[in-house]
Amino acid sequence: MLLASFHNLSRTIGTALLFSVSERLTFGVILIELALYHLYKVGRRDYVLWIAGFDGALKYMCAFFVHSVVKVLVDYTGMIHCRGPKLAGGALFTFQTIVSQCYPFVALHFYKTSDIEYKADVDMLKMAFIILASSWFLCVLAFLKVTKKEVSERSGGGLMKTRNIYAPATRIRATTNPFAPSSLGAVLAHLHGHSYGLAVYNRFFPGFRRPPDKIAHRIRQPHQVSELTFSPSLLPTNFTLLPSFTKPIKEEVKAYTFAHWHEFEGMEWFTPGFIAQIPDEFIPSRNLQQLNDAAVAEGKKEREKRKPTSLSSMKEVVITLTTFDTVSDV
Amino acid sequence: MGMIGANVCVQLLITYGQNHKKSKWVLLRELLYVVTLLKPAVDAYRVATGHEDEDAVASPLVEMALGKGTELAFESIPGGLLQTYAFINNPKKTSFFFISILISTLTTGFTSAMISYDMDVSVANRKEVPLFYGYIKDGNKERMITFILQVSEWSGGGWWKRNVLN
Repeated sequence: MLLASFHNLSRTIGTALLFSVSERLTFGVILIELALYHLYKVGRRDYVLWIAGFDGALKYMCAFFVHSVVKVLVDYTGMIHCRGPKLAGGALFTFQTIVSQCYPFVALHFYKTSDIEYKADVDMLKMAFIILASSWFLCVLAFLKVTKKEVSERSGGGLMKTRNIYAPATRIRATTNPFAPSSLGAVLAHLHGHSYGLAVYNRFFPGFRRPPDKIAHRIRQPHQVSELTFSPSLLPTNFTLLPSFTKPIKEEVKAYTFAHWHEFEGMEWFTPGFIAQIPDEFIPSRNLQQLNDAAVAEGKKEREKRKPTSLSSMKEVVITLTTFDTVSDV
Repeated sequence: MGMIGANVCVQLLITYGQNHKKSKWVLLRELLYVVTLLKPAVDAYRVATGHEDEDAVASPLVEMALGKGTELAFESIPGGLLQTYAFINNPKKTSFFFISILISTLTTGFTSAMISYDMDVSVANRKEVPLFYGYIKDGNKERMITFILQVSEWSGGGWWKRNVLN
């Protein structure tokens, strides 16, 4: 929040300076940056994972669009919200923010060596950029000062919120972290307690740098882990994710849903709309049979299932919208 | 016009995605909000009143954030860039242009900051993902300090423009 206006000013002026030198060069730089951003996401197998409800080419088109917009927002406004693993990710967010601060200096170099008319005083510009960058750095410090550093009680000694700014976690890791609330990892911790928390940690975070005694302290307290990181709202959040999100821990999630299905039935969030999102394989066979029987009794072929949206289904709706008979519909 | 047009087109696509499970009349109504540029007001109203809709893909808060983000990426940022470009290359650097750029920068930054702020102070978000949301302190005083820092930083950033580019 603190840095948005400032960041925008810095990057916009840098880009405008570069534009005044050469439009071709500026477009080239923007396109290369964008391509590298997408390649980074593809390289980390972190491209389309979180976009639920889309299928086929539409899934990739949406991912491309979202990544491009997020990159522009981080570059030009430094939007703190984009630090999340489901958007830019902490490490990339920090890298892009620093690049944006260096951008005006690079642009100034090209501006200095160009032969454009009505050139501003380059030395003054340089001094101004230095002041601007220093102010930005002070601003970052002030931001860290005024934001929360303490770990919330409910998080059970987990990651600090501001640490997300440079955390390198991908979406899969963020989802499977056994210590993160609203993650499937927390479901596992709730299900298996101490020993499983350790096993899951070793499986998913083999090279994660963290003081061993801190980890051990948290894992030694399975009661705290399960109580503090589990909430029923985990499931609505996680079943709406793409299957590839849950693939690494699919069997564990199945075991959990099988064991707790009867408890879910009394929950506020366990609505027909939510059940429609759950794949058949995650529903105990007896309950699945009941759901299908109820649907047949209502004259349907089988229970309601939420279908993913694809390009062809979008076309159908567009055609319907553009051709329907207004008079008869009214 | 191109920027505004691109923004409206993307907003239409997002609105379609958000409401594609609803009836075509509801979908048309929502698309009409976008075309008539009423969408931000409708989103703000829904967030303020705690509107709930089971058939919608995303919550009103997320929908509002998506709308604002799109507006930034397709309209405000390119617009600000164009203004700054024109200002730098214009031999007559008038204060009118300069004030216009400052207002654009401030509104862009403010919108971006408000997206992060709204998402962070959301009770539902803090409850569901407490490790990620909740970096803004709860007290009014702390929030005020954050806001003042933001404004003063913007003013500091504007100094060099006043003194260098003019």
